[in-house]
Amino acid sequence: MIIPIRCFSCGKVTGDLWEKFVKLIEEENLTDGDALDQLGCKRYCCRRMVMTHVDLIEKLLKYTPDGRNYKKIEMQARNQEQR
Amino acid sequence: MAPERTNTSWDHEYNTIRREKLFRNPPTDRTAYPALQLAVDPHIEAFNALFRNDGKPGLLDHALAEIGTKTFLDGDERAAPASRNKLTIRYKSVTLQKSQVPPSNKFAKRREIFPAECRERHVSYRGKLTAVFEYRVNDGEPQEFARELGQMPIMVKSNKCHLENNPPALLVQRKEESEELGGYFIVNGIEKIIRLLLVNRRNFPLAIIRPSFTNRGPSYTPYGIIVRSVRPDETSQTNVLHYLNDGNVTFRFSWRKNEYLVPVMMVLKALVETNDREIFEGLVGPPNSKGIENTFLTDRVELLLRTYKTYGLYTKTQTRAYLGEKFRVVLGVPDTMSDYEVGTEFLRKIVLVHLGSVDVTGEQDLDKFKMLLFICRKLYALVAGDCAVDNPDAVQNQEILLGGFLYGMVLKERLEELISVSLRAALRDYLGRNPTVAFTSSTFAKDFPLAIFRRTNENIGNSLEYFLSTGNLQSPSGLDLQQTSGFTVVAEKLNFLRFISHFRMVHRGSFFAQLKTTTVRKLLPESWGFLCPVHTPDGAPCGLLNHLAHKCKIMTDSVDVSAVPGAAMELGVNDYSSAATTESVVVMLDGRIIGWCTPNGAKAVADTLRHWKVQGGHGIPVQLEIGYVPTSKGGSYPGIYMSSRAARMVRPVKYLPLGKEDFVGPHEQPYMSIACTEGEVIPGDSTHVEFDPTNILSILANMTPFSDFNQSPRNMYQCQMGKQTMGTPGTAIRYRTDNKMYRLQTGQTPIVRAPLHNTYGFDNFPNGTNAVVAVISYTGYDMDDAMIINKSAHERGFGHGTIYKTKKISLKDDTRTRTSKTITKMFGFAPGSAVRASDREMLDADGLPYVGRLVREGDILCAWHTVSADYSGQLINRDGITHWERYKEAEDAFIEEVRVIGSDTGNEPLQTVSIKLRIPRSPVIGDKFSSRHGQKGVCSQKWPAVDMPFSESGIQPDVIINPHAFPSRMTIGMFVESLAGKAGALHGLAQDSTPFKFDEENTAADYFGHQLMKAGYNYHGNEPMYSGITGEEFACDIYIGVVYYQRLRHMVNDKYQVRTTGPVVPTTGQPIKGRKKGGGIRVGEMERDALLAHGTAFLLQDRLLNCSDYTKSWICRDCGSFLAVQPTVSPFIGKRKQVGTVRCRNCAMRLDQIEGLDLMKLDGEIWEDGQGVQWIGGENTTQVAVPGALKFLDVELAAMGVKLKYRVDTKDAIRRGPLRPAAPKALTNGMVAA
Repeated sequence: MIIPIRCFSCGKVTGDLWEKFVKLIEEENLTDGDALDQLGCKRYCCRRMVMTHVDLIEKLLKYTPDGRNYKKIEMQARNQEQR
Repeated sequence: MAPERTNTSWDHEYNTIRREKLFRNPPTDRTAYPALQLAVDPHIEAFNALFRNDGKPGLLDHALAEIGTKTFLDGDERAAPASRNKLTIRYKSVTLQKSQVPPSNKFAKRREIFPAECRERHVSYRGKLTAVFEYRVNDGEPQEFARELGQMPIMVKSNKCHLENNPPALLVQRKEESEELGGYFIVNGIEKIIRLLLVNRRNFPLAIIRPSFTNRGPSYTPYGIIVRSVRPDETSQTNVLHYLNDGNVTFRFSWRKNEYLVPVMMVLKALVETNDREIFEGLVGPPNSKGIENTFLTDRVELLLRTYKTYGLYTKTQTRAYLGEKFRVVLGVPDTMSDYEVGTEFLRKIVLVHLGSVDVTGEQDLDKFKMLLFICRKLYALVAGDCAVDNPDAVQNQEILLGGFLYGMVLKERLEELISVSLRAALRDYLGRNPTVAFTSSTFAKDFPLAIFRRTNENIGNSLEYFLSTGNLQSPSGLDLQQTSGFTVVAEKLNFLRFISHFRMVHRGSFFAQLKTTTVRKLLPESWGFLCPVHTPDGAPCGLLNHLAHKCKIMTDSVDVSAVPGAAMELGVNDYSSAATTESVVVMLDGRIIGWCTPNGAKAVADTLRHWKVQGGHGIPVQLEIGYVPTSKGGSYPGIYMSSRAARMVRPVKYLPLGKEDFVGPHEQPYMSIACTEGEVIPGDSTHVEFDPTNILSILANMTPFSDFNQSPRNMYQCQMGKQTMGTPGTAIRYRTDNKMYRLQTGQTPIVRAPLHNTYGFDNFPNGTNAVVAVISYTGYDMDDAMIINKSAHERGFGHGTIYKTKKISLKDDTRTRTSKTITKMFGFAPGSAVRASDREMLDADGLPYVGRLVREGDILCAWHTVSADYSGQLINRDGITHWERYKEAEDAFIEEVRVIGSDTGNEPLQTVSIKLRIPRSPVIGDKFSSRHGQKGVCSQKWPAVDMPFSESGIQPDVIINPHAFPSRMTIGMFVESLAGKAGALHGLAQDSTPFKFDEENTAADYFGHQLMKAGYNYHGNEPMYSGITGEEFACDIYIGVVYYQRLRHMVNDKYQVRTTGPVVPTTGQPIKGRKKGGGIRVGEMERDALLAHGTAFLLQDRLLNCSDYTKSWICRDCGSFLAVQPTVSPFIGKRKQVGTVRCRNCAMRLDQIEGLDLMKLDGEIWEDGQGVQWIGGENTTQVAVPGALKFLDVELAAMGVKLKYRVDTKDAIRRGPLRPAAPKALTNGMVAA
């Protein structure tokens, strides 16, 4: 659902890596393997945590009541503009 | 520029970005996973066929035509029909509306009701069914009126559903899954589907030898031909021809659950104007043909013709009138019909209905005649041994009864019942009450559409809902089916694999489930490509409950075959027919004989037609099935049997001559040469080749990685366990109120997967976790399929799950029959009632629980109070008592959602709430896990990470399994998955695990081994590891890799059963049954045997007596009875609870009955019973420990007049007659019933 905070097996922190990972493969067109190398995931246990994660939360956010998600997106957009 | 359409082609890669984008922005044009929708489409299309909106008549229109008009007469029932007024009525049309809020609701702004709302409100998703009737009195002006026939459940995503053709974005907006598939009904908030059923192939004469046929009467033989004849409205009528010893043939059918037998000659003569010569030549062949030489046949046909002479019926008119006279009562036709017309009606409704069932023309009767002759010919060939029996259990001779069609059949029958039986009763009732009213009067015209129809049971919607919710068929005709229950199942959304499997499930029928023979369950080669050989459950439904291969389609509509007869004629099909199959073979299209041709010609015809249909442009549709059965010696009856109608299975294969896609049906496939792979094509023989060898597997079986490496039963187990996995049922969980729903917290996509994983969009519903698995015998806690979980992995969320349970709390009586309009209860605290602070803080001010609150056993879920209306109609509480609804389960839960459910009309106070509870279930010892290779195991320990073994790179396994799990099970696929998973994680690859991709030269182990070597790991997947306890290196390297693990729904928390003492059955004193009630587990006979064998006497005593029905009981040592003892009652002590002395009433003497009572002479204490009667004696009582069941037995026997005497001691024995030697020593201590 949301990426686990730590690698199940070795305890390396992975909670911050998902967004970086997505950015690397989307914007820099890296392969999954190269992106993981850049993120510093060395062991295969941590690599599978990031690589095979399914970010279901994105789907679940579609079902918030009263369009809370859309309000949030709007708010974020406004904050961006201000910056 | 138009935006690019959503891409629908998928490979096996992760496609992370593409997936993320689909997650964030569901497509607005079309789904990205069309294969998923295709899997469910047969269900939806079959429902759509009922009410079509493409201009063609729907199934219901055909059905209404078949129902036809019904005739009723008024006046005196004994009067001649001609003198009475005639009323004819028919259905003009029947329409179904989309689901809408009733007009009585004045509040709703949006009038549509969407499926999500029905799920949340625990109601049915249904629309208004309306019928327009047209009636005439005495053939006068037709009058029309409309009636509402109740609310009929609608299939989700059908053409009567608001969600039809909704793109994912809109579906999400409508609170559905973005990949909502539909294909099911919502009945009381539960998703129900109508199962696919295997039935006999339509319009095809099946040769059967069944010993039970001889039970029909004397001279009946086991030989018969069965034709399941299907009308255009998809209802069917089975006709059977029986062969009799003397060569005669009878025609059997069943009508309204009764069987009738008619000589086939009578049917033949009734169909067309014919003569014996024509029938003879039709069966045998023209005078100069080879068929004449078949004396076996000619002898029998001669007898057939000769024996019929006794009836003395020669012309068509005579025969029809005769049939009409006999079947007038059975068919329930109006009195106005003549016998001849009834005979015609008989032929229309019963005989080979596929060739004409509405306004049958002479040509259609001729078709029926020809077909019947052909069937007789096949029957004689069967008897002679020239033709083999057709196996009704083979897919070759089966088709699929689709849910929508069955639903239409039920609807049709209800409609027919309404207009015939129900209306007749209502009319009779009305005419009985108003004898003066004639059909022609104006009072009748006013009353007929309203008062009379109101008295019929016209709520057809309700009976359809009943059918869906129970799966029971209440039908006077039985609908030509072999079962009456089990038609529907709940489409459980335990996880997505299970959900999708429901739609691909094909059942053989519950009739066969009771059959003792197992031949129906056999996997037959004919099933190849249509039914999955792997995906069937083990146990009771094995082989009866199959699943469609994922490429197998079910036709839901007829294809246009108007050009086929012409094309056949062009290719040399003619009218010359003979009984000798070496001379001429039949060419049949949908059970209609279009001609005959020579055996050699037949092959040419079939081949050419096939070429044309694949090529296209000859008006021959590609889905046409051309079942060419070649001439053989004693094989299946030869001919070309083409079918174009619905309910057939078809599958795509490549046609080699053109290299194009061809569709193959189960009837033609056994006679074709289809190569499995390109390499296996035999030049000059193979005409087709499979697109992919994995096409034969079901969706689920395709998900097993490297299934070709596994022992076959393991793949079956995985198909079962995949469906029991705690996964992701969906993402619109917020808008679902399933009774129980399981969810895995951190589902991952498998590293090792087939491309179909993406094609079917399983990444939307992750079903497991990639676990680092070490195969090592480490702690001793991994024996016998137990597995050890890394405690730290567990703490970081490995395998964490959640259960959602929904409780519906309704203050209304749930009785459907009488809906009381008055409100007697309301939610909330009773005003002014005294409520404890601890109770008060559990609930919000409205009497409903706080969202997010922890509830424990016995906590309050909500409060309610009784109300009644006061003088002004205000509902007020009068008793000041607040009632509680409590949480009864032992497991702690959290309130997830509280749903406040209003009424349909929107003007009632709150009467129903639905509370969703969340129960967190982190893995505990005793929970079940499995890999995808049928390797299940129970978690036996959560081993601390410090003591877990570690590898050189510092990796500790999440899961440890025992190497002994492999040798006997031979799940090599799991080893390969481990290798591939590890290599995939290291290189950042998704590994393609499609079976049949590797061979002896290019082995999987080598391929993935080299990948591992590239990444700097051992080629074989082993790694040196160190003991977590000693820190020393193990003597051997450990096989460690990444395997996708599923957490199964079987969890100890739902299963554990503990009891010390607890509730007992009052009669025996033994513990009650059932986990929920705190009962015990039975120590049965075999368990007892084991304890005896081990000599564990103490344990045996403990289990069977002390922990069960141990009772201390008083017994009289003199008379040896439990039943005669009673406690004495002291007149002085009163009713104080005290263990008084116990005396035997049987052995005591009643003081007032002793003659010459002398108190001085009495020896012993006088005692009193409860009634104040004084007794003396009976003092020799004692207390013994016995099983409660023994006392129960004693009482039971006493009731039958059998007395038991117990010897507490050998000395106590009461003997009659001479003293016999004492019993053996061993028995003296025990009690022996004398």
